[in-house]
Amino acid sequence: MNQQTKQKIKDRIIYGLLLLILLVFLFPIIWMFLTSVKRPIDAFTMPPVWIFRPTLENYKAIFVQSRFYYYFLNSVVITTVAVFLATLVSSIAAYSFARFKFFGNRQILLGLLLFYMIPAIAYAIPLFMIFSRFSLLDTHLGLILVYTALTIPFSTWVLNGYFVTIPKELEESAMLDGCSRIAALFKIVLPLATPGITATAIIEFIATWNAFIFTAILASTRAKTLPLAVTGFITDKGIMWGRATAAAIVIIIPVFIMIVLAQKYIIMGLTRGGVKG
Amino acid sequence: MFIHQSKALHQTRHYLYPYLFLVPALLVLLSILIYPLLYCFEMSFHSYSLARGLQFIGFRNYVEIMHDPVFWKSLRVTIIFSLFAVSIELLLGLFLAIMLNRKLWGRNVIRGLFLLSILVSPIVSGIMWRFMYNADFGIINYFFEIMGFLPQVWTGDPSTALLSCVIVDIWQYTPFVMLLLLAGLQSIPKDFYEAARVDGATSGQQFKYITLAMLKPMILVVLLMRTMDSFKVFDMIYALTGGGPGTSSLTTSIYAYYTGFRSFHLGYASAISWIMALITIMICLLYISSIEVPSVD
Repeated sequence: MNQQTKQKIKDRIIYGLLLLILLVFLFPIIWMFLTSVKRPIDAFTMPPVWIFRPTLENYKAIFVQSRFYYYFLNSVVITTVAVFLATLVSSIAAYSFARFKFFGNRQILLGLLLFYMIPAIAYAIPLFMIFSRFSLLDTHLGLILVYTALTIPFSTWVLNGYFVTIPKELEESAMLDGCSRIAALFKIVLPLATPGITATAIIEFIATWNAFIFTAILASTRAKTLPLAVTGFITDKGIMWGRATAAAIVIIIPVFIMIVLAQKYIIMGLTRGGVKG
Repeated sequence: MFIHQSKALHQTRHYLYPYLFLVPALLVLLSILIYPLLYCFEMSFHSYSLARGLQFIGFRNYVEIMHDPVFWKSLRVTIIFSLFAVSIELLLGLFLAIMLNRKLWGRNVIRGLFLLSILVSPIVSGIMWRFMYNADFGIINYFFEIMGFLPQVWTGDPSTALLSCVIVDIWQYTPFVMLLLLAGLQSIPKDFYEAARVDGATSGQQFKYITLAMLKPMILVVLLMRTMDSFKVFDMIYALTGGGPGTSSLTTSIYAYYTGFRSFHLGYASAISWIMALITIMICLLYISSIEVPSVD
């Protein structure tokens, strides 16, 4: 066997191993999807069945009986508005950090990271007290405010990283022509930074979409979002697995669509958050 | 004098100008994050009851925490969870990143599919794995039996509950580590390896002196990001085991939650939360000292 063949065999083995590991990582989700379309008899038999007659009864149940369309709507509205507001506010702030030398520039930017480090429960407990005083408990507005605020620190940090890479000369020449700073921001910098902004916004959307603890503590009925709704199937009398797995798939589907459509942006957003400088 | 005043005003406006851009962000952060944090700190010196609201009790909460065996157990649980999860994620993620750092057919698709476990809500992960871990109809025990091992109770057994949580965390975040390390690997110039090979270096030496050395900054970033996130873990464990059975998988976040919203000892819960915040911030300072700030300088 020559070197080339040996290399090819080695490559094939590694590729096979990689696919195997990928399968292991995908298996829980696949299994959950299969369970969600099984009838109860099929879902709980041991040994597990791989061939069965699929049914949509679980999905019908959660949408009709458990009002899942309502929670889905809540999630969509709250997440979209919060991420939109946060991205807007963060862009403006990040621009300042990226372009101006001012006292506390570096320190405040580093300080933003601190917010991200503090465990959610430290915010949730006082917010519970504050919201109850201001009648913000269980309101869409309340949740939107919280998620917007939570998104801003990390968003600003990452967007600053993007803005710094855009050459100053473009805005400077525009301002020489009479353009104001703000106009330069909106007409020149933001369009150029669109990939970075999109990547950040997508990551933040997914993170907010998946958020649980603040909904659990601050909005348990009317403004309930999907992650909390899923846990509704865990009752004292037992877990309604059929509905829970269907609900879980419903939560995953938008994220899955995003991966299919915007994988490049997602990877940009995830790695940028970890890359220094 | 008129000209002097005008110039001074102009300079003040220039001086304040950058801060103007920060106002919207700062307004939101101040009211929704900073003020609550300070309020939480204040609450930690009070005791809360539904009847009488907040009553000042000084340091009593903190003293009680020091003597609270459940608190210390929860710290141990959190640290063990974090240690095992992060170290295995790092090793496994590095292994995967190296494998993926080749010309492979469908590499982008493979990479994209690995993303799925990162982007699933931790609550969903908890529920998903809870189903698989089920002692009676869970598929994990099925595979165990096929391979000749004894079926376990997993989330229902104190000796395996935390392990079950660690496995789920590894499942969820190894691809994230892989992703970041892959980005790091791809930024290493190929010529380095060429030059080393010409100089007679073995693959082992190449790995140690080129790969690992160039990856070190990224590894540090990943290490600290994951440590911080695993310290804060809540959703996944809440859904998977609820912190039990008993206190076997009770992390400090979950303990604070139960203290505050099941027992309604909000003052005590605030104190626990603040101690947690301080511990995490200390780790954060470590993180900050190892990265650079991209700024105007």
